[in-house]
Amino acid sequence: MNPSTFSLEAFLHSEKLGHVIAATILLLLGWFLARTLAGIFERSMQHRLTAHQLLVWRRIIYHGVLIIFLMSALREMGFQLSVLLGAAGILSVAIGFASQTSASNFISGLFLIGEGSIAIGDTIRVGQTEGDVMSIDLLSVKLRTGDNLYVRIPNEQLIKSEVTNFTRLPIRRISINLGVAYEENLAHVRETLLKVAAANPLCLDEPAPQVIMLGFGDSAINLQLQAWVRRENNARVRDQLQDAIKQAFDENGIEIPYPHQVAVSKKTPPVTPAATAPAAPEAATLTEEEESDVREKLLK
Amino acid sequence: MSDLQSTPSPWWGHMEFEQGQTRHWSLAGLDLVITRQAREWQVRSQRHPLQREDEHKWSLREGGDMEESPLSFCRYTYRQTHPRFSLMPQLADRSVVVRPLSPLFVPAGQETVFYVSTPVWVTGRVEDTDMPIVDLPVFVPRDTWFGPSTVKGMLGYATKVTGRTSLAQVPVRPFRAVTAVRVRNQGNDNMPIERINIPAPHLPVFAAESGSLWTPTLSITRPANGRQLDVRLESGVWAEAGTVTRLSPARRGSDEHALIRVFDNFFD
Repeated sequence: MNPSTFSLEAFLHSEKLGHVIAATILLLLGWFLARTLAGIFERSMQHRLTAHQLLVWRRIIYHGVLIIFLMSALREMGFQLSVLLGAAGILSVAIGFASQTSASNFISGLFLIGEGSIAIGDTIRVGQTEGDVMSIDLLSVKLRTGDNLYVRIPNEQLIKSEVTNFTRLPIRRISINLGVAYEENLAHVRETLLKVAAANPLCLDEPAPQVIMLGFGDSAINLQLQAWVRRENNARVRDQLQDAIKQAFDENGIEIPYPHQVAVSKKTPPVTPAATAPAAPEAATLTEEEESDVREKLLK
Repeated sequence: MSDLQSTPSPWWGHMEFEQGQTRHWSLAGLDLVITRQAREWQVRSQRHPLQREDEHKWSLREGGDMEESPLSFCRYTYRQTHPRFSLMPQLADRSVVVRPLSPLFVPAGQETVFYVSTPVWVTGRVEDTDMPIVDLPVFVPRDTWFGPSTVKGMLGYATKVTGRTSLAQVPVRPFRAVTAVRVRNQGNDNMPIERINIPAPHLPVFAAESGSLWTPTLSITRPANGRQLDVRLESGVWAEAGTVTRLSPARRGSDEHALIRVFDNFFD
């Protein structure tokens, strides 16, 4: 008789086969139960918990049930868990040295989930990347950008760098910078801007919109209109306000000046025609009297 | 086109539509055109760009021509449409923060009643179903934030009120519902009222014989020994409003916890 056939036959008739089958059944049962329980939990709690909380709890339930059944299956196969855990400890040290980056991301992922500073569905900015959070996994966070790109950001990067969450708070402030000509009546400009904000029902009544003066620019007085909106209306209101400001300024004759410069050319002593270069058509030649007028105007 | 109704008849009510019939409501700058077809109801709406909150004119006429193409056009399809249609006023879908035009104070030991009004939405239902096919504000109030900081608080709508203390001074306005707010100050100092947060989604709407719209009375008591206000939503409308008819239910049931949350910041 072939020894291998003999050993297979012995195995088939031994108790070990029964243990392996029982362990397999336990694993399959555990997998099925974990999936079912996690699914039931998700369906029953989806209206009470946020998407992020649902994800975290679903994973805890799924992996918790699976680990319990895995331990039972190993015990059924005759493994001693204390020995296995010891081996796992040694193994984890070895793996830790070998894969520091993954371990760092893993630990960062746990901190991210625990900290709760971002959640699924939030719109965040990390470095130059801005998008909606699709999932927060143990190693990375997946974002969907505005132009529908799928971006994976390692958790370690999120922990180390500055993260801006645009949707954490329900209201946001819009700041629109603009410049008006030095000749304009600032009180009238402020009144016009506040009327524009007041006419938009999506601009919050409180906190009240305000106009602040940022400073004196080269060609304009720089102002900023600040208005508060619901976070979901941010882009729409910004667009509407800028459109309305342009229209209101046109109607009220308020000038948004272009950058301009005054070229001053001093009168030079007469030279021979051959040595004279052709003058630039834009540059005007001013007399001393005209030049002093220009200076006075500029100082005003 | 012919005027079927004009003021002082109410703009709300139950009515029947023939198949193919169209009615056109002009409600203070909001144009609403409803058409019944064999298998669908059609809703067109258009809002005047310069709509004013103090505008109260309205009209109803047959036919549905709009001067411009409608801002919104929706179709609701059914196996077979039925003629019954109702157009009713309903309160806002968020709390309304009313701010008196001038500061109001209730002195210590005094009790007073303020009449404040909030803008109404127009809701249209077919065949007495719960879900409306029309749910639009007659005038779109401004959004506002009600809370101690930009982090903690709640979103609502803003409206300015005179805060009248005499019912005789309260005008009949077809697109605003009056809420009587009874305030008792049992404290030892003046009670300032800078803003009042009216929990509009929890209030049903009633019509008085005078044509004005009413909500149940809110009763607020400031106790002598603490700052926690006792706020109650009374079951009935202010008695001086006279005989009233219930027009529409509250958007949200009187969930006690929700009311408590709303009333946490009742006064600013």
